Amino acid sequence: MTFEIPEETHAGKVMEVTLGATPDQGGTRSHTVKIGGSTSSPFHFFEGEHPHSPVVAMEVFDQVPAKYPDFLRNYCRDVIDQPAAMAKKCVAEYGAELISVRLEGTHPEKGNRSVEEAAEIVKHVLESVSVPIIVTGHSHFEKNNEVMKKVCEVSAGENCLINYVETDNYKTIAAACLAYKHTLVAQSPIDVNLAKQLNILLTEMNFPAEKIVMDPLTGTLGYGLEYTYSIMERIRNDGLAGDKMLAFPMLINPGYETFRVKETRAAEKDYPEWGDLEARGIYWEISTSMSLLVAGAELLIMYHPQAVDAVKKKIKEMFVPKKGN
Amino acid sequence: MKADRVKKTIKVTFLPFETCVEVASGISILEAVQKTGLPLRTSCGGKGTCGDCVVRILSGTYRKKSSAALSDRLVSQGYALACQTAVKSDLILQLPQFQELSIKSVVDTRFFQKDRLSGYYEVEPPLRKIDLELSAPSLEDNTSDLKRLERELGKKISVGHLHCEHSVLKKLAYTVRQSQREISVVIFDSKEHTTIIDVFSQAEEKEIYGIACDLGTSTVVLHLVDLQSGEILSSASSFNQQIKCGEDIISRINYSQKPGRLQELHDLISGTINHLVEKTTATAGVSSSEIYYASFSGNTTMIHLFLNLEPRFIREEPYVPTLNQVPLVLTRDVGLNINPEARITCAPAVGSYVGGDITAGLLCTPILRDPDRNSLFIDVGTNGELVLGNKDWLLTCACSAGPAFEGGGIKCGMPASPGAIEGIKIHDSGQLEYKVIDDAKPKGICGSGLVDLLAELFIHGYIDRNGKFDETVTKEIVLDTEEGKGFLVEKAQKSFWGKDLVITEKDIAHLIRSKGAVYSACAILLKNSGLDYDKIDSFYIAGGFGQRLSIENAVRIGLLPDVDRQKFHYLGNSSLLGAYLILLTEKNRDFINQVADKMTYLELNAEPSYMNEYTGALFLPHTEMDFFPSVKKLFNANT
Amino acid sequence: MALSGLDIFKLLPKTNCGDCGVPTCMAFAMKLAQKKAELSECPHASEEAKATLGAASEPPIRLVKIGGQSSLEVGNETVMFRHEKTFYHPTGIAIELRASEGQEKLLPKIKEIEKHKVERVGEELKTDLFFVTQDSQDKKDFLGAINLVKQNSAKGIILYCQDRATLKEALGLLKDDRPAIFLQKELEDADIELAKTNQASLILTAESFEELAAQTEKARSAGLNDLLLNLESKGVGHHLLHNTILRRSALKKNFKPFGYPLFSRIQIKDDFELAANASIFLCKYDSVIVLPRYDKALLYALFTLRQNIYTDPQKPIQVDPKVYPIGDPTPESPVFVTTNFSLTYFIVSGEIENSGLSAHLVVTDTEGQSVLTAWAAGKFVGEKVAKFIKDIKFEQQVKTRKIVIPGFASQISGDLEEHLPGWEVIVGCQEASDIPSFVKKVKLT
Repeated sequence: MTFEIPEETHAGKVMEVTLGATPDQGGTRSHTVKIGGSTSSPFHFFEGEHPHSPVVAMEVFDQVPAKYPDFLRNYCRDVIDQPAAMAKKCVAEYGAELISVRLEGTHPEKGNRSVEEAAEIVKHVLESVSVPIIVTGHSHFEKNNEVMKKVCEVSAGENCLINYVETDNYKTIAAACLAYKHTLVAQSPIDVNLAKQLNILLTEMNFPAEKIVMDPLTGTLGYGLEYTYSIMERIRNDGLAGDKMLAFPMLINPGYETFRVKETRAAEKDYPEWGDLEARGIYWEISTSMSLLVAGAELLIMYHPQAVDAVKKKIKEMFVPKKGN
Repeated sequence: MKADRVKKTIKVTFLPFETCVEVASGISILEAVQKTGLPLRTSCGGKGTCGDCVVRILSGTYRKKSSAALSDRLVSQGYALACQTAVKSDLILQLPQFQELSIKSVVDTRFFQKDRLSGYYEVEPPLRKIDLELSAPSLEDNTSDLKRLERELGKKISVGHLHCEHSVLKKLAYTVRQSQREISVVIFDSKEHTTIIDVFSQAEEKEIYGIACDLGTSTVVLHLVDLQSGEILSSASSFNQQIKCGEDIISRINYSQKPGRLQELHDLISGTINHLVEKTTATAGVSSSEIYYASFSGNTTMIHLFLNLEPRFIREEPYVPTLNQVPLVLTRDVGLNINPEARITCAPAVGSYVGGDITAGLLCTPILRDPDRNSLFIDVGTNGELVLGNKDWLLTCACSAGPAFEGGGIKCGMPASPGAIEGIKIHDSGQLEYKVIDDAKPKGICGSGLVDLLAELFIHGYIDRNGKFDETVTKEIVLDTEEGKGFLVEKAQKSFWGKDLVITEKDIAHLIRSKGAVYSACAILLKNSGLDYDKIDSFYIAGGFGQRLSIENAVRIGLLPDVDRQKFHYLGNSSLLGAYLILLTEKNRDFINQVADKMTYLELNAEPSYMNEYTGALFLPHTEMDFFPSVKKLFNANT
Repeated sequence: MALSGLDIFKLLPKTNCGDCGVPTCMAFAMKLAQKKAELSECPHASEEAKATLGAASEPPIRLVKIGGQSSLEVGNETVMFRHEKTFYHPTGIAIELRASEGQEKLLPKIKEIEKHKVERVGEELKTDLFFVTQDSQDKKDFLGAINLVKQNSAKGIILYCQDRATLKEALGLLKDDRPAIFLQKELEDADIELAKTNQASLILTAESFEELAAQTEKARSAGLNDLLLNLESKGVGHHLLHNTILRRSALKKNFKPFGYPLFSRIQIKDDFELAANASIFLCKYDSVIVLPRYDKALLYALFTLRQNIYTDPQKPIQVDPKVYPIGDPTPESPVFVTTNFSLTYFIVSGEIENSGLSAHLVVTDTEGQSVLTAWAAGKFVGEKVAKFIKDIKFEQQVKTRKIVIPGFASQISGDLEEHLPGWEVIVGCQEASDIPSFVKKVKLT
């Protein structure tokens, strides 16, 4: 029986984005991380090019989230309040390929830490690890703008991934990224059009396309994944079909999203049919990550070291750059 | 009020609605207004700073705390701020935003020219006046009055089944005798029979008239028509008095759900119509009892309220109205001050959200006659309604566009009436030029002006494609207002109300949502039919924009598709025009009833891709700039 | 090529007779175009219409049933991406039982698995099948295990037994139970015969596309159509590609030999890698997966993923109508109310959280409509909101007697106060993004 593999070729290509900068590029990273560049659906090696493998980042905090589970603390109890040390541990022991510094503590309602403090933390993290870093802010526009402007300035040239801007608040941060040579996350709420609109707004202010990473604002398993999974697939399909304003690599936050929901926090004794708490949390983060990887995610910010380990193994296993069986 | 009551209550009357409320002495006019439920906006919450709650005091005594937000000129004319003025005696006030509308601005007579109406314009009303000379009775021929009338009538016209109203019979004996048997009868023809609805002496020289009336949710417009010639004798319009029970139809349905309230709404709309009947008959010098036929068009809810029918189920899923096609109704059933035997007809609805205003509007276009060419009819109002098709099929849907293009919900928005800015141009130098209806001092901006303004701000780069102001633009033009960033259209000194005319980012967001709702509804209609815009030969645009709607700018903001501009035809108030055409001939009435029957209604809420089309359209001109090639070219040239 | 509504309309009688149950021929044509109606519902359809529209109505992927009374249905899928339409038949999850474990160990396990279910968003989630493996020397172990499942469970059974005679005996125990046979070797005529006589479906295994196609062709030509496909892979990456190619061949190329649901038996030691593989297989086209062991925590994650992936993406997504705590609310915390359109819920809850406030968010049932739409349709009105609050006995749970309603629903405030005596209604802001500044300006408790 003869059988011909039905290949589909695409007109478009996901934009290749470089994160971090080495000394000769104006930064201090030991290496850069590249994502994007694909010319077919995620992992479809039989019909397209996939020059870069998806990568896994881990997150450190200026202020540990109130809901951060105890079983997670166990992995870094000694350093959890020291973002730079925790970053080092995540890279050295847990294999983080990038570090995200979450600056939620600068939110006026959640600690109101100062702009200077935030900038110091970022500087320390940059000193303690050599991988590229992500700086993650929050939704309080005025404060976040001030924090990010300062962060961009003190990390000038490092090509950090500044996470994030949204449609109603993009100009200040985008301008700072432009001035200090950083890459930017364009975040939009679970909608293909809104995602595209923000990318258009950014490029229309002459922000370089090769410096944009998209975040379609995905939740965790059971929390809108039925939406986000398909939004990501549509974004990727449209991008590959030639829509340049959707052809950017995508970032997701399975860690942050997973470990704040009831399913990863409620004890087994209260919900015996849910099974062991920590295993459940790890499964939850893995399932979220794996499903969104096949939907097009290329940069994952994860929390649980065991989930990170499993997902990294699987990415390697799925990254089979040869045809068919 | 009871005589033993110590504290005096004061009666406050608000024009033009003649709404009265009794209040305690010393409370503010604003509080009095709020008791009535009349719509009077304030942005500052009654602090006396925004100048929104301006009223005009016609009589009575009052105490003013402050009128800082008003110019001296206005104060000298009796204007006051409702929140800063306390009542001291009985007051009569006028709410200036609801002053009588100028008919000129509501009805564009261009569209009533006969040559524009070819095909449907025909004066052959079902109502006729026939002069008869009855033979004298005698002992030999003692045939009854009615029989002799029938005999004479039979000589003039062919009569099948003849009916005669009881009221005619009651006065027949004396009318025949007092007129020396020279009488006129008014007959009304329907398919089944002919009915005599009035009889009078020829000497009375009475004529027969009709009215055509558009029952809008916010405005009511009426033509008085000579039914022999088809000529429009006079016209008038006013705000729908139901406004005080809610500005949109959902609020009114809501309002109607308490005992007595449906009757109240019905009385308010009848009252509004009667007021217009009075005005037009006075102008034309005819008696309202000579009006024998009335043709109405309106959305399904308005027709239900007018007929005093339960509107509740229009709103609730699965959206089933009491009726779509309205049988002929009698005057006494609806409380109109016209001839008690007058016949009333209403343009048929297709469903709860596509009403008689739309089917009537279709009569003003060639859509219904064209077998090969496809047309798209778009009526932009609080509810945007669309009809796509040709002689063989018609697909229709309704979207919730909001009142922005009628000036509603926009800080300086207003209907297209005197004082409204109806056209705006920003020159490359940055200089802004505008045109005001009746060349008055500007009071606000109407729909056509808002379309222009949005297009100009976008094309000249004052706002980004998301409708947000560019932070780098000078502070003299883009102000920080209480409601966020705003663009200054005219300075306070030069505006009628003495306050800045500003369009804010919030206003722009409203406008974008409105245009997005309409454009995405178009997209869904097209998708369901499988047609592209290039397969559509004509676009008919109706709505309350005002008469100077710039098609070019409507395309630039993405309200209308980017196709050959020659394909667009702006209709103005097509609902009124349709009501007029239905009045003129029974053929149109029959025809539109048949058409309504075969129209296919598409429920957008049940359309899974509507939301996606909608968010795609929430951008200037659209997320897909390629849908708007001419705008893309212009935009790229400017940036 | 799919026909448009207008194309189909041209083939209909255009009489608008309404005999099909919709008001106009155009409406019927659009329903046909969306595959929401059948041409047979029109009693006046012409032969031409029947010929044109009847073609290509055969499903490209066969529907296969496994199990007796409460059988699992898989297959009949029509799209590669769920946003193109929807995925219809959720992946069946099977747990593997090994005969060598012995009946004493198997019995409690079967009972527990049979009992195990989780409720989520009003749906009861459970495993669907048992996969019974003959890995013992004694056929009695295998037959005993099957009897145990049959006696203690309503779930369908997949049999895996290399010895055909034993298999035949096992099938004899499962008359009327429509079992499936997992065949991990070259298909022979006797296998087809066995499946046919016992109304069993066959799971075909192959190492290459060509070999697999040859086997399905063989079964099809022998009249056996209840098949599932198991193309062996070297890892999760290959598996993803295989499944993509198989499904694409069936849907896009109408390649009949691959027009069957896909099957995968997962045998991985590491729990977390198992979770990763199963997640991908659920997303990318496996219709039945077999898990090597029973793990409640893993199942909960997989059930949830399956529910997400197999939800119709075109339906408005709803959240459960109930009271959601934001932060750590006390009985004195403020109370907000909104609709159960999930996007509305996510945005409102996010903004309340963003304001730093702890609060109760009452989410009422509006059938997934947003505030304005639900208000317009009479689903978010004073009476209904009040009734919901009373029905869930919310008044007994909080001391607060102020409730914040969405600004877009300001008109319900009077009605709500009337139906909710003792409460003060506060009209909130229109845009959720204004919540943080709104809560600063207004006294909410």
